[in-house]
Amino acid sequence: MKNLIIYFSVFTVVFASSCSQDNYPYNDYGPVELYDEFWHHVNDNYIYFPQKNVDWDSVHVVNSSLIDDNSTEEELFSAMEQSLLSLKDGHNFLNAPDRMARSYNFTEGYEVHFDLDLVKNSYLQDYTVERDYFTYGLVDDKTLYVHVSKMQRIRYLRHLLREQAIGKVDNLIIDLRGNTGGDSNDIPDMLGDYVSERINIGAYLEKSGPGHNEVTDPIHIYAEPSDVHFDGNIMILINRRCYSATSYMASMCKELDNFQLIGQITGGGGGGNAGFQLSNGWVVSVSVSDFIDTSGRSIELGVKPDFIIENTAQDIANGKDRMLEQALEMR
Amino acid sequence: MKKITFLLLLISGSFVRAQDNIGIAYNEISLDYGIGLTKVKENRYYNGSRHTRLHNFGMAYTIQKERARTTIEMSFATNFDRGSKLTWYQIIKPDFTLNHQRKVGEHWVGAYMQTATILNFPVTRVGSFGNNPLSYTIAQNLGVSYRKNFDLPLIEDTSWQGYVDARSSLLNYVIRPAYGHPYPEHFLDEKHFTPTRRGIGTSIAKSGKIRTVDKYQSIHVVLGIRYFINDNMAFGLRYKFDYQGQVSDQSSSLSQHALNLRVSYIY
Repeated sequence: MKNLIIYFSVFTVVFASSCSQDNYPYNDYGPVELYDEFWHHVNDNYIYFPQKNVDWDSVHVVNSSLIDDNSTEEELFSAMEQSLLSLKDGHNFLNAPDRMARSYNFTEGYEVHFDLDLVKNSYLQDYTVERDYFTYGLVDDKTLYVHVSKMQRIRYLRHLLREQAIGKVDNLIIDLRGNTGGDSNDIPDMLGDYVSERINIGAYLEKSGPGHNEVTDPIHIYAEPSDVHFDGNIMILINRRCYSATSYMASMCKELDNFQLIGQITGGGGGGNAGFQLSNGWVVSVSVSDFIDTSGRSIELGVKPDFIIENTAQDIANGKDRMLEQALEMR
Repeated sequence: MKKITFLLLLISGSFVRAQDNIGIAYNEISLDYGIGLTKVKENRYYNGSRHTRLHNFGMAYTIQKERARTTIEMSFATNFDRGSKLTWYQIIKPDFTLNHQRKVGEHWVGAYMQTATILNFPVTRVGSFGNNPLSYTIAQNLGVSYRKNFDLPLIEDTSWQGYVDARSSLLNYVIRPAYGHPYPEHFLDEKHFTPTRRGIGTSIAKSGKIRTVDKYQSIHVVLGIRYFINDNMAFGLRYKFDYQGQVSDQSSSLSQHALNLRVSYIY
């Protein structure tokens, strides 16, 4: 029995000797090392340095000079926040357990005025339907209006448009105003209902290494004709608050002949973001992928409409949606 | 690792009376459960390493004949690493191993092949992992294996048996995500890419790279003791050390020290 106890003791000692340690901090990094860890992660992963024309080395010089071994968490957080804001990218985030860094405001400098209630009350016929992220109704017998508030459940949107528009109306107005994004993956399939031949609608680029210019070859995507076809006019309404997946959709639609983009340049947001946890537990996330149109231009800075028009605050106050009215004129 | 080597050498040195207590030929079905103290490194998500405890489940089927021994082993380890208020990581590690050995003197020596997988999911309330919601290492390993059964020194009761199992891979086919993206490299080729991820399974299978031991290692060492209740049943305690890791710009590894209870049915 005594010897058995020895054996069990050996097991226990070996097992216990590898006991866990605290996960945070991973190491004894001070503020200076943490800022460097942050800076290097962004340097190795952010995809838009060439487009943004930001000298990331200079950002390091300026912000690291604000940090020393005695800097507080607030000072360190602020230096990282300022560094990220210099990239002007709404997909970049910095989060600590008790705070969130300011995001880049992609509508800054633009007049963005849109009121869905005004559309419902003044432009749509009596019967409007609100389901999930979609509000739809007829403007007249030949024109269906659909507002998409978020890029989610795109397969359902496809089903809805097949049910309500294809074979029933001649004009379709898809209003993306105020839609800040979501998931764009199902959009190419949906656009298959509006093309009669295979059409290139843009390409993805992905970061492929730590160098600023290390990206994959363009990965082109296509709208492939589906088993149904809508050959009427399609007007897409966009404004500066359209971001991320919504800019993807605007860019893809712009490649198709029967689509007209009307309104303001979108907010952009071509990147998909990837997170990384710093050694003190904070999470930094930056854009690591891009979407380009068929001419090779990134959508990060926004997708321009075919027809530029903006609402003013006074228009909305007067019960007038000039952007929608322009779409109705272009039917 | 040094601790394990030292312990193995210590015990190997005391193998005075090596033998198989339970006869020449038998089949064995075993179930085991234990806790593994685990060190995980996933440089796609953080620098350094994180520590957590994994629940280990295992099932093994062994066919032993006079001169040959085959074991099919499935193991599964999982848990949440809840070390941070902001982000957790869920680790899932399923492995499948086929091990065949021949008897050489008192030793069992052979080869094995294994599918060893590590899945690492960040779980966060801040939605920052949109483009890297999963990291994975999926490896097909080929390597050498060793086993030795022995009587426990200083214990006269022959119902007790000790054993050492060891495996080390020599050649590996390792699949990892592309840089900055959860998709495998093969899928990022225009010929294979679809936004809705159709066909990604095939791409994952084709995205592996052959890795020799300088780039990827898989090591498994077990030190076990067991007690035969009768001719058909045994229970025991197993100390298991596992290491699986790859060296690259975005290194990933998992090592664990696990203590498992094992129950076996022998027929």
